[in-house]
Amino acid sequence: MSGWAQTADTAGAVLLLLGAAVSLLGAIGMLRLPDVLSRSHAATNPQSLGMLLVLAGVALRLRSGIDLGTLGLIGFFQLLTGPVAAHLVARVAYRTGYVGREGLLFDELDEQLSRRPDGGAPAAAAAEQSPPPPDGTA
Amino acid sequence: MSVARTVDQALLTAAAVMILVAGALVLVRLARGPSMLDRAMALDVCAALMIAGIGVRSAFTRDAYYFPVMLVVAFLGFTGSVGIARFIAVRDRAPDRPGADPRTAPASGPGRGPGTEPAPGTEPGPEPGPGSGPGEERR
Repeated sequence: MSGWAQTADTAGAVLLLLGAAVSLLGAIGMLRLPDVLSRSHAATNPQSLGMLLVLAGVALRLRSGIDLGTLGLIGFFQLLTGPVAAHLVARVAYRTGYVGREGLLFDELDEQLSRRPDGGAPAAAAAEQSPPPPDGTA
Repeated sequence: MSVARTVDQALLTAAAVMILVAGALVLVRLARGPSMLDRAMALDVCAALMIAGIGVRSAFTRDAYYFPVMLVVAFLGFTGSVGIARFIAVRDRAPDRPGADPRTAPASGPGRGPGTEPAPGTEPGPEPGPGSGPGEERR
């Protein structure tokens, strides 16, 4: 039994080390990548995968019932809230023009949204109510 | 058995050092970030790294004393980022980089030619005025 416990301890420590390595890679990517969207891509690594690896490592080292429940709740809430924040940040980054367009092959969002950085804020805002879009004449 | 325990402690110490280095790098991004959105994302990653650090600590000492702190940080860590993205970052626009956006400059000129009459309320000005900020806070 002690052999199994020691194995679980070492496996938990290895998982913790892997989670910390994923977090470190995400932080390096956040420091080095050039764009808001690519930085967001790097920033969701420690929030999802690194977090789950660390929580699995802690669960393997603690191994009691109520602690496992709390760790499951932590992982659940982190997976629930992380994508919401990343989505909102990426959405605002697109709409305020912080997207590096020279790296984009396709831009499949709306044409009106793509022309927003030229100053079409009232046009795109009005296009949601009025049936003829202002760019339909193009 | 003692050798395995030493290996465990070495692994955990390495994990703690990696998390500390990652936190330092994220703080550099937080201080340097050119836009508010970078700082919002850096705050998110800071919260995640705090959870990871508390996890390494409680794996080291084998107690569950700080698990409620992890739970609260996981549950509320995103509110700052959402608030920044929703209410603050919509006011600062990207600096106008000529050539960085090749589609909009030639497309908006001949698209609305002199023959087509735009609707009176929907004509965009040639340059974004400062009044375009509050128009998009509703969205």
